[in-house]
Amino acid sequence: MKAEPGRRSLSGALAVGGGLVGATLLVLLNVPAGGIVGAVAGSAVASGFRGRPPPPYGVRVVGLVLLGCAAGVRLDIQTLETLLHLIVPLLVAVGLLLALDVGLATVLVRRYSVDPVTALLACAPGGVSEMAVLADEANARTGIVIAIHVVRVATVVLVALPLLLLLLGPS
Amino acid sequence: MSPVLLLGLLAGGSVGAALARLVRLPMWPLTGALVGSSAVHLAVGGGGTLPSWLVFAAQVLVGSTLGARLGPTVLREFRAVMAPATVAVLATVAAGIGLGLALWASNGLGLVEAVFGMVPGGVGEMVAAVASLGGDSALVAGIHLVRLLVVVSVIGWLVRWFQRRDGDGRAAPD
Repeated sequence: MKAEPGRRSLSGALAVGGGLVGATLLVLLNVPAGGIVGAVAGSAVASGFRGRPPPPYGVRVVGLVLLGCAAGVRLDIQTLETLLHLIVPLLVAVGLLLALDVGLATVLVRRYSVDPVTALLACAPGGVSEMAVLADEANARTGIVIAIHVVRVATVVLVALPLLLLLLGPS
Repeated sequence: MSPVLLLGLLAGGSVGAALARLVRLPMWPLTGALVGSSAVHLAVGGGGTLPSWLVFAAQVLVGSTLGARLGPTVLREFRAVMAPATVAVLATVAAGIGLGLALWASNGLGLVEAVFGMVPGGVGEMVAAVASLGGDSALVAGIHLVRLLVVVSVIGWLVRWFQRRDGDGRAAPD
């Protein structure tokens, strides 16, 4: 979508403003993954569902760098040592999750006519933001990928987490 | 977190992202920044987490660029795959719990850390839950970090492979 720089900047600011309002609202309502989901929904509404040009790519790069930094600072020396000790079984476990992803994606492709990249990203055991960005950059059906990951996070937070706390918590 | 450390972490993340772009890592802004900021964080011996407002700002920036590209048919598209997608989600979550139990049984990892570390979703919620149970929340965060890094890298490569195989003319993101 081509647009004049001035109009594009204005549209980008509008999308980010809409995202800010949406994210604030869902975070205040304690919705799981409310920050990212609210930003997506808010900016979709503010942009008139692709009626206006999206924000420049640099906006996304800045956001992803910040998300990367937020994840990176979770590591400390002791944790790193433990992770190195566990790295082989951990990689095997993540590899099995990825194999399951491929299997589930194959079912979506063969039985529900979803394109392979969308199916792979929708079933992947990764973060909402990360998979959504990969989907958008791969020209996959980003809306489906986001929606399915929201279902995954909601299932984990609203169903699996309370059950696990009940089972593993102090009796 | 002190402003100097915060600036150092952001600088480390930015340098990491630039290097990751040079070597064409999948999702280079995220994976590169993750490695760069963790290197700085480890070099200075730790020191807290990023301010929550900064994480929120990051989510707004990323989410806004995604939402602005969504078309009006998104809900209809989702309805078409909702049932199989829900089954896929349940299978993935169940597999995560199963793999967590396997890690606990075979590698001496604590039950809480293993199970909450392997459930794929809501990293912040998992870490908070482990902390509330008195478990090692830093380790759980680390396990999710490894999962995220591996999944983003592998899926990124797989997507590129599909695009090459199907002759998609669009260049990989750089």
